[in-house]
Amino acid sequence: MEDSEIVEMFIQRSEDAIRQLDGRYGGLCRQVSYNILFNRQDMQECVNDTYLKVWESVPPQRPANLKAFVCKLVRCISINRLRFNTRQKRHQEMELLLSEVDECLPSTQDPSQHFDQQQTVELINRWLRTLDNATQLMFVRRYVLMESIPQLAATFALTKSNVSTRLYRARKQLKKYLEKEGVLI
Amino acid sequence: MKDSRREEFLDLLGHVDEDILIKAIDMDDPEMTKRRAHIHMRRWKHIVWIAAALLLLAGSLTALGMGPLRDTWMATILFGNGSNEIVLESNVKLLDIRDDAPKTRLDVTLTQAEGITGIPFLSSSWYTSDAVYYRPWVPYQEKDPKGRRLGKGKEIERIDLWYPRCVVMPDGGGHISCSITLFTTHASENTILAGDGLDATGGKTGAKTCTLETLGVEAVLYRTDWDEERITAALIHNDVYYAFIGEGVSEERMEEFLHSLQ
Repeated sequence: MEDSEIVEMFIQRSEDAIRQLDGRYGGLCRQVSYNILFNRQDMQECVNDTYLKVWESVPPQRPANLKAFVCKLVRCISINRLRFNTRQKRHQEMELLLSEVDECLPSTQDPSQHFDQQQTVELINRWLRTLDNATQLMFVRRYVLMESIPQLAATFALTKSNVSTRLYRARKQLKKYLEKEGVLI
Repeated sequence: MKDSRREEFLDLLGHVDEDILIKAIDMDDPEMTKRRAHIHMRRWKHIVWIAAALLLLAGSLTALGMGPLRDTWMATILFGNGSNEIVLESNVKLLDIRDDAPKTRLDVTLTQAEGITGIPFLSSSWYTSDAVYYRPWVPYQEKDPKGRRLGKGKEIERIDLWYPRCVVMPDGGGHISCSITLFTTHASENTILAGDGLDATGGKTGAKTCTLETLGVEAVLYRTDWDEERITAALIHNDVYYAFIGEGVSEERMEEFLHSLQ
């Protein structure tokens, strides 16, 4: 079944819509959620919450790209669940990922000053488009889809240290770029 | 503060453009596909190389005479100069004999032979003699005709006991001799003929079977076409091959004798 047909089913309030959505993107949702939570029970709950959120959002929304839409939703819901669970007991993989994110953050001169989120997202997207194809894919899979370094190494047929080096360079580059554009976080 | 900044930034990264996100999910990168194909090919090359090396090793071991791993041998009798074959038993177990079994030829008694090998042999109340020749050896190998000798480092692969005139019938009724053969776990041949020399390959006639209920085995009786006085009964019992050879003994007497075995 095509994405547009599934969206149409949601708009028509057809109860079969969620089943169709699960059949088409259930695997992707579970993978993204598990990459963040590392817990099967939480993962399943987040995936169910995602379906519920889609049910509540469509309509009025009519996503042009259903795959990206559910992917962003499940990512957001899973990260929120992770925050809710406990800040003290984050799993090691998430700690590693957050410490990596730290390296992308531009220096803050004024801690009270917050950056414009929309502007920063646009800058990140612009920066991503300057990357070579492989680095761009790797960066997105790591920091958006939250894949682990060993997973990436297997996917990209590279060694783990090779993946880490590429990501390290990309993070430094992003930090420099954001600082150059005057983003303060 | 630091945590919240990091998490906030992580949230922002979740808002990448949909086309970039979809491209990452669907993974469409020719360079990567090429690299993966290359690694896949390299992995297969390794597997093929390992398989080839294993085959080479197996071939070398076989060539060195170690033979394939197995634990049985096949006892057969050839008839009509090898044109026919009776399989006495196809899965005769190779036997573990005592480690300290002598590697030299000895003249012993049947009881001593049992002590040497650690294997009990068939006995009969008809036996009139106890003199047995103990012959340990390695089976014949084409590339090394002298290889039967048990030199230094060689293990006993086969033991023959020749029990001549073990039964001498009264009143000139002929006599029976017995050839006993067993193969040890060091044996390196796959199919081993039950008898040697003329008895193994010479013409034979009138094969019939005789069931020995007490032992739970079937013996094959046959005559040779090169000695009409000779009648042979071959059987396998407890993974040991026995050939009882009668000279001037009638078939009925031979069967009677076979039934006395225990």
